[in-house]
Amino acid sequence: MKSMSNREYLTEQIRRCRRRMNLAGVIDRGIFCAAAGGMGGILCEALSLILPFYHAHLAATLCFFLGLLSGIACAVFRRADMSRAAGKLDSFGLKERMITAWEQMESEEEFALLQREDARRHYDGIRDRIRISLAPDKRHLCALLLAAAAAAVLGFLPSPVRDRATLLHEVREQAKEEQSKLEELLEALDQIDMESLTEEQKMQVQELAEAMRLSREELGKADSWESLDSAMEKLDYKYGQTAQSLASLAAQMNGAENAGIAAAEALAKAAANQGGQQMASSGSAGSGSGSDGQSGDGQGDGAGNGDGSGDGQGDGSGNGDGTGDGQGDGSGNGDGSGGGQGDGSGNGDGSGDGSGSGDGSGDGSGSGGGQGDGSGNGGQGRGTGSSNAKHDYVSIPNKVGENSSLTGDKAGDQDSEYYRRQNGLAWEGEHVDYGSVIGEYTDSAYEGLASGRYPTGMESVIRDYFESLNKRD
Amino acid sequence: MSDIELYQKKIMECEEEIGKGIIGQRDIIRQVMLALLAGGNVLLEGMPGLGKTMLVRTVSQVFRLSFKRIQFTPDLMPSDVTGTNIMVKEEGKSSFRFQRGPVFANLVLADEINRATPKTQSALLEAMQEHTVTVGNESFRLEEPFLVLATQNPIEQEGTYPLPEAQLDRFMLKVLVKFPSREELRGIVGLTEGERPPEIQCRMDGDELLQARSLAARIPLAEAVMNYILELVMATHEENPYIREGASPRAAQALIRTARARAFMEGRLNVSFEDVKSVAYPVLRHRILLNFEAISEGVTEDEVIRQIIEAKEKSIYA
Repeated sequence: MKSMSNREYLTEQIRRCRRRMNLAGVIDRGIFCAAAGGMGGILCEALSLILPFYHAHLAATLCFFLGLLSGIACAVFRRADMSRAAGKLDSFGLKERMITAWEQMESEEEFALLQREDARRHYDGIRDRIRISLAPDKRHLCALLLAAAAAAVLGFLPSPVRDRATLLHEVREQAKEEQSKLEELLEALDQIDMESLTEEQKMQVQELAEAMRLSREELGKADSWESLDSAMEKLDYKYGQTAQSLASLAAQMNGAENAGIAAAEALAKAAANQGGQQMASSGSAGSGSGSDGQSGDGQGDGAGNGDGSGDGQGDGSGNGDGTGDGQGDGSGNGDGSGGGQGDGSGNGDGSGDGSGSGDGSGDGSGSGGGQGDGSGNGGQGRGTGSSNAKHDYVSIPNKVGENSSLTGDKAGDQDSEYYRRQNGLAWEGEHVDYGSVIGEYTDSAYEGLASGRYPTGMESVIRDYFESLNKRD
Repeated sequence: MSDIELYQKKIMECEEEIGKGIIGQRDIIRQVMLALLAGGNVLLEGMPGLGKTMLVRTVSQVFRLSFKRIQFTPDLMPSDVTGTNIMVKEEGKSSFRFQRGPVFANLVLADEINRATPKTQSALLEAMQEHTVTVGNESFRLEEPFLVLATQNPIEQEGTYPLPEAQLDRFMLKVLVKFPSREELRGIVGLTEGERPPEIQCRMDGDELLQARSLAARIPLAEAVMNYILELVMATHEENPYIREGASPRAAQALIRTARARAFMEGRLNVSFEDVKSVAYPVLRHRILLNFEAISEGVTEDEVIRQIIEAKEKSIYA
């Protein structure tokens, strides 16, 4: 130390003082600002007692940390310079010798040299008494502790509002999850190649998308389990409708690579993911085509959850002979109905072992369509159908029976029947009378109307629909 | 020992020497010394018989300076102060020759200055400020060091002419001479009525005083201290319930010079806040004008200055 010049020595001492002051500033300002942030935390916790604010604890913690960080930033921003540090040293009784020396540090005049010497001499005389404390202001520390304690106490106070906030949060989380699934469906809809669609089909797709968006908004507004359930019920219904519409749409289009089919698949898969919910699903459309003498591939696709019955109509026509492997039996012209596995029977004219694609849609685990290699002129088939997971099947009244799978005298007065044996499906349900099914659905629809479950404008449509069904019955 | 330290030592010896002739009144001696070092004039306010004349005479002895005393009376004419042209006849020819007045001295004691008319008072203005005297068309330079010490009686106001603000501003310091304590009074009586009055030794001459003055003027002043001085002066112009008019810029100059002089006398080579606070009272007290509110409440200039200093105390080491 003694070998250092007065200038170097004094500069070093002032610098050391400045470092210590800045550290003390960071500590003190950090604590002060954290205490100020604590006031914000208290406010958050207090607010959560009167307003539903689920993230109050997180917000309060953030307030503390933000306060601390801002305090540190403030201390860094307002850090002491060398003049202030010299002034701080002077406050220990040096009578402005250090700050004067610092300001005259570059001067080599006699006065400046003597003054530095004088400053060093006096500094050394009181050096042992100089203490730059790092301890924060006690008032700031108390404020911080009080704020933390108050926030903690408020945070643990029970409150019905806080319980409601928790409930609301869970509902919103659930709704958000549903919304994200809905987003996927909307994206799948967006991927449909609109240019290949007719105007009517475009309108149909747009309506579907709009319906999905409305559901998304409705989910966003859900603020209780009841409203969420209501929204989910509507959404389930829309899934069913959408699936049917898309299946219908896909069936109208030729080409296995059609994007509509892929969209239908995606939608059906998404619908399948709604665990535990009863929902409709779409059957697939299948189509096959071929030319004379050539082999062709027929595809039938279907997807669905569970086993179900499906009524499908497949129209196919084929001329010529062909061979092929297929799981589906069916041939010729005629109507065929197929379940998911492609069993169908048809009466028609045809020859050969050609395979027709059985179009069927089934609700259920699988429906499928078969893939078959066949030759001949492929038939086109379209099938729609629906089922539910409980495997109900419906006996169709004679007046509407148009299905080849039905037996009975269609022209007679008796109801036609749909036999398990004949369609080959793994029926496991119980027989439910058509009238009772219609009645249940009608009651449910009217209840929904009464409780305002359906969107405005749809009430009359729903009412008219069920009235017309009942009239037919 | 450097020149600075040598002169600091000598100044301290002078102060001690003056103290031999003046019992008590340490503050008064210090402030007169400050004025000598800073090159300013002093207005001494106090009751008669408190040793004001004695103080000035002692100072002149210690510094071996010429000393003149002017008793101001209502009929005192300016020429009685500055001097006048008189007709002289030499070798048969008449001519005018300037006869120097009592102002031509190193130390001038203007006793009871407020008893003279403003015209005579203002005759001192040029001498105090410019250190020159102009008579007719001719200006005469006063010999350096030049210092006016004026006295005034604070209680006998009848038949007096209070000094105008412009003239008051030209006094660097206004020193209040208070009545001595019992012990000091005993010392004064013992000193003056004793058989052998103390012998006052000369410790410095005028040239050395000028040298010391130039050294004191070079004492470095930190920026923080300069700001503090400016804040003090500006505070007299800020809203204050007792101040009618604040201090002039000359007050800031006087604060700097006297603070440097004090630091020099304290043996320091830098000006401290304490120096400024110490000289703030004699520098500012005659430069701020109190309003009716202050007069009616009995608030003095010193009280107002104290409030200002206290208000600025927090900003010193901030």
